Amino acid sequence: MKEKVVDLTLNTKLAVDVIVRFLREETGKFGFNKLVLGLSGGVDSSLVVYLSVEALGKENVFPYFLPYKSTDPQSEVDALFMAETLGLSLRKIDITPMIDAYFELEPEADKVRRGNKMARERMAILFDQAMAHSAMVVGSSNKTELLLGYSTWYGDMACSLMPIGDLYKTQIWQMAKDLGLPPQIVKKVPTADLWPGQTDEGELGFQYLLADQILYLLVDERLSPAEVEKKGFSGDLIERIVKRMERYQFKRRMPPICKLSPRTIGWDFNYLRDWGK
Amino acid sequence: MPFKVGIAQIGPRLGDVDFNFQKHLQYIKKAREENIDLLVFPELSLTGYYLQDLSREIALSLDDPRLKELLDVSREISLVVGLAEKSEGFPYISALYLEDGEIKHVHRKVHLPTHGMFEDAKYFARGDRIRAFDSRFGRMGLLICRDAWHLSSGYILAQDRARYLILINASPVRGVRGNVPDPDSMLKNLFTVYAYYLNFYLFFAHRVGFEDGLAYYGGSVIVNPFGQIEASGPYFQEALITGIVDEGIWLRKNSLVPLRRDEDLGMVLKELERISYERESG
Repeated sequence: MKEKVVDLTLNTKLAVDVIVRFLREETGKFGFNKLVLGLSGGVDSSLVVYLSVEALGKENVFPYFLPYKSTDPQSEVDALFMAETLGLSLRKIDITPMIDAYFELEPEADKVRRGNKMARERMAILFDQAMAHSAMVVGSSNKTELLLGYSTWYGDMACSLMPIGDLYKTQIWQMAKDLGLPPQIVKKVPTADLWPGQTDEGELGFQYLLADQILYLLVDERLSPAEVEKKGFSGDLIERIVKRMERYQFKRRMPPICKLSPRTIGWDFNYLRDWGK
Repeated sequence: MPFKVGIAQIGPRLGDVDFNFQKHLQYIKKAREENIDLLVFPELSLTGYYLQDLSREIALSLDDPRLKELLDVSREISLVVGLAEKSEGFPYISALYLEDGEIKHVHRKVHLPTHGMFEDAKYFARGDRIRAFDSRFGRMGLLICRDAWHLSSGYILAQDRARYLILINASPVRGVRGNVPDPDSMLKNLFTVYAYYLNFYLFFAHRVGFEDGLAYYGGSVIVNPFGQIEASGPYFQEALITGIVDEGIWLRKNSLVPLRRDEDLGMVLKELERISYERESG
């Protein structure tokens, strides 16, 4: 299997210019000028906090570190370092009491249920903090995880704006590096850190470097799986990726509304969110 | 006589015609202060681009009082504005050329992109003609966005003796891997080809701003018939871009490289008719 067949290199300056303007305009139009986000110490949220500060200034960006008792201590070190680098104060809210209170009632719950609950607890806190600050919640989902459905529905996926949702993970690494984000954050092994030892690539069973190239060829270049295989990628891996994309399509859509009337939201009631903005 | 052209590279607000109308008036005021003779606004400048269901609700008829006000202004400054134009069925994506208090020309977008992120033909009716018209500056042609991607559009206007080609756009960014936002470099190639080989002065008015996640990139330009960019706007920011247009340059180019004189319209027509016949008869 080849390592690098497709070049996904971005023009970082141009991409950042678009994203920063996006954050500025899509908050401003709705009467906001502040952003709230979860900062985990990973590269995605570190990049988003950087872009948010570029867009709205450090006085208007409110990062939250929301650990559970099992959260890797290094995450806090990195999140704090990132916040301090940008001149931000990082508020820490420990979610252990909320999570444990619930699972005392559900002691049999497995780690996935617990992990999902943590992601949704963080979401609930961020939206509440956004209300307190009159801010919008900015999300850190990237294109790779959105396509693979590797995120918690209404958990980490829930937000008002997705500035890096059209960037593959490897492009995020490139952008973070180009922007001079701390190397220990850029080079860190990606993990949702929902349980000890969890890593993205371990759980997914493949490397981002390969997955991103396959996704790019399938999604952006619209090649068929057979055509992607001819480029030198494993047929088995391509199939697993295609299956994941299909299986998790529901996470990328609003829940379907059962059509009963001549005009139904989502079917034939079509307006952009920026309606009148 | 040389004249001064201005391009109002604005970011319209989606579906808020009154707001956009006021913005037009501001730019017109500024343009008049700068002694601009012709001011060009981008595609759907009065309405916003990605209208979907709004297209019917906010479409303007050509006797709309706001257009009347622009018509009054057109006695002082010629204008090109973009709007969703009301019709009996679906509205059109239209560009109006306003001058001397009259609507001198209406161009209704012929080529409606409907693929990938585009949905034009789902919400709009298709225009059925591409024609040049006379203005106080000389013969003009008007095209809207995707119209220009079809090379026949520019060819028709050149054969119809247009010297000035006005192209108004709303093009979202769909790539950030090159030096400039996609599809800007391909479009600038197209402009060079149009200007040089069809012998046009080309005025490209492109919008800026976001509609949801779509970023319109600006980069409006004025290109002379030698294919040289005479003025260009910034990317992503509102701006008023101006340039002096000299008919003498057009005339000089037209005689130095006499492609228009040497064009054989009869042969082209004959061949197109043959192709059309052969296609129909299978």
